[in-house]
Amino acid sequence: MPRLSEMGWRWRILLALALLSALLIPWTGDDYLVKLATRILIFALAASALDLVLGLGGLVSFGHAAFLGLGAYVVGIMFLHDFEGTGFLGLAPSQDIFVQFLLAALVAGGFALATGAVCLRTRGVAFIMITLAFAQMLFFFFVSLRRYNGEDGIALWNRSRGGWLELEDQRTFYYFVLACLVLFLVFAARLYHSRFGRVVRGSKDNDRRMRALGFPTYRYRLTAYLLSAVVTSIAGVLLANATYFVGPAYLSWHMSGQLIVMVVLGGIGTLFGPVLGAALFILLEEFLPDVLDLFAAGAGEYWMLLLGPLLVIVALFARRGLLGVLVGTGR
Amino acid sequence: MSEEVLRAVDLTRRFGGVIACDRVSLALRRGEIHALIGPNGAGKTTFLNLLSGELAADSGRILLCGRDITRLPTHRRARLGLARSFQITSILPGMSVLENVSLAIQAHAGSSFRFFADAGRDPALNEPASELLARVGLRECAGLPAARLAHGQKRVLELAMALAGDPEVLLLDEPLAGLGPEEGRRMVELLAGLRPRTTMLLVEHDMDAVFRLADRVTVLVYGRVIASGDPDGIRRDPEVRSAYLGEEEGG
Ligand SMILES: Nc1ncnc2c1ncn2[C@@H]1O[C@H](COP(=O)(O)OP(=O)(O)OP(=O)(O)O)[C@@H](O)[C@H]1O
Ligand SMILES: [Mg+2]
Repeated sequence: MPRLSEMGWRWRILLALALLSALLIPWTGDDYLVKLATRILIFALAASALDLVLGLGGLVSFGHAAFLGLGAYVVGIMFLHDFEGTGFLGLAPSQDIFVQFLLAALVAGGFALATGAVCLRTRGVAFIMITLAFAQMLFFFFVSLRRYNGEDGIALWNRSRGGWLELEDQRTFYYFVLACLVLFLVFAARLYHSRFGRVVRGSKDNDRRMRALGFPTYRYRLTAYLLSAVVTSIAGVLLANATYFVGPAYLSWHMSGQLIVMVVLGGIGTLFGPVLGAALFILLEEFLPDVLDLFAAGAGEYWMLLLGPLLVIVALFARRGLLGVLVGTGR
Repeated sequence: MSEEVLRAVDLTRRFGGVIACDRVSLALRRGEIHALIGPNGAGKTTFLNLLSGELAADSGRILLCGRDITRLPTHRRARLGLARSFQITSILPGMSVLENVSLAIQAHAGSSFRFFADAGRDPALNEPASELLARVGLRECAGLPAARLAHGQKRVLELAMALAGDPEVLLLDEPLAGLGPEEGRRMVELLAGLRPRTTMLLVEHDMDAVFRLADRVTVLVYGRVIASGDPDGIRRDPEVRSAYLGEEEGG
């Protein structure tokens, strides 16, 4: 990801177009389109947060759905207790979205520190497997958690409250999500070039060299993991609000896999690329089945089969993903 | 000139049945170039790894400027002034040449838990990095991706990274490995130019370079120190000749 001042015209045009269309979509007045775009923005947030560990740190976390799910469950559990008029661990439940952000950050952050402390001692395939294992543990925990409806999940009757923001209004909610994403991307772009970001990237490049230079790289990787988890949990809070639903599926390995696919499709290590990846993935998920059904009735169900070859093509010919195709591969 | 910067006492390390380092003791005096030589598999790299903290010693102690660092992790030792190069070139291939050195400077320039300010535009990091690059003759390559450098330039870059932060001790593992004669000559000049500011432990197979550079030489064979002293004495030592130098000339 280049600095703003170093971006070529293709970068600038792409950013301008993306921002412009993101700002204008609600004005189409098409409720379906706004909902779809909201979903894209939320997954864009989760995917670029994942890119902090995957792209910058070179750590393939196959368990990021855990953080997404934890964020979503904060919303669900708060809603349920508020609805029942019961307390949660003796505390009054809150439906304020900012309180829920904070809670999600604490819970996901705690989980990230505890699991990351173990995962980050390993590398490569072991890392993938251990992150997956921790996420699966959490998945089965929520599946068997009767108190919160087990695998049926929790249906929400209303969105979280956003102070003077009327989040129940689809357009307001959309802009709220967009603001979260833009804030994170600005932060991430700064982070990329900061001292911290350089150390994390250096540790991906050659961890041994970084340690010999004097960097305790484990601490930096753990911090990146923590940051990534916290932001992903924020996306989880938003996702629950977007869908009016929370269930164990949010923590499943399919979800973790989808997030990785979005990052790879969009462009690993570019932070902005995963936004494009999320858009492409969700548009394919939404429209490809219908398109396939036109060719053969019932073929739509198998849209995922086309995703495989697409990923192979990206892996072989476009290492910087969709972003690389659009803006060129020069850094 | 006789102050001790680094002292290893009876360092021992086994790999299964192999004793790679067997009670190796060695002291580096401030400002000297101390060569560590020995045949393949003698345990030279293992010894450097014990000193730098990449490997834990089974027994023995390491003192840096009088401070016991035996149990410190690699990064702490590096921060205390123990820098090294690796036998197989170890740089950050994905970053520019300048970034490589500037990251090395960053390691010695306060906390890196800074998340906002642009480090690539920080003169406090870039200026010393550029100076170092100029010193080793890589200034023209500053903007290139490090992966694109020629092998010899990569080794010079690694040396520049090790020099960042003005280390107390420089551990060099075969800096001439894979260099052509001209590049090798320049590397020797570069190393000679670091004297007397930098204390060096130099592992090297190139005997011409060793005898040109070294103030003292220690010979390691099968994990044991068989001789240590000034270069002339080492050259004449019959045990060294039969165990090592003779082999070298014969082979
Ligand atoms: N990580 C390891 N695991 C097992 N054995 C090892 C390991 N590292 C080194 N050894 C063994 O220890 C001995 C010393 O190896 P070392 O690499 O230190 O030698 P060296 O003097 O650096 O040799 P060279 O001149 O070839 O670089 C060898 O017998 C080697 O096989
Ligand atoms: Mg060696």
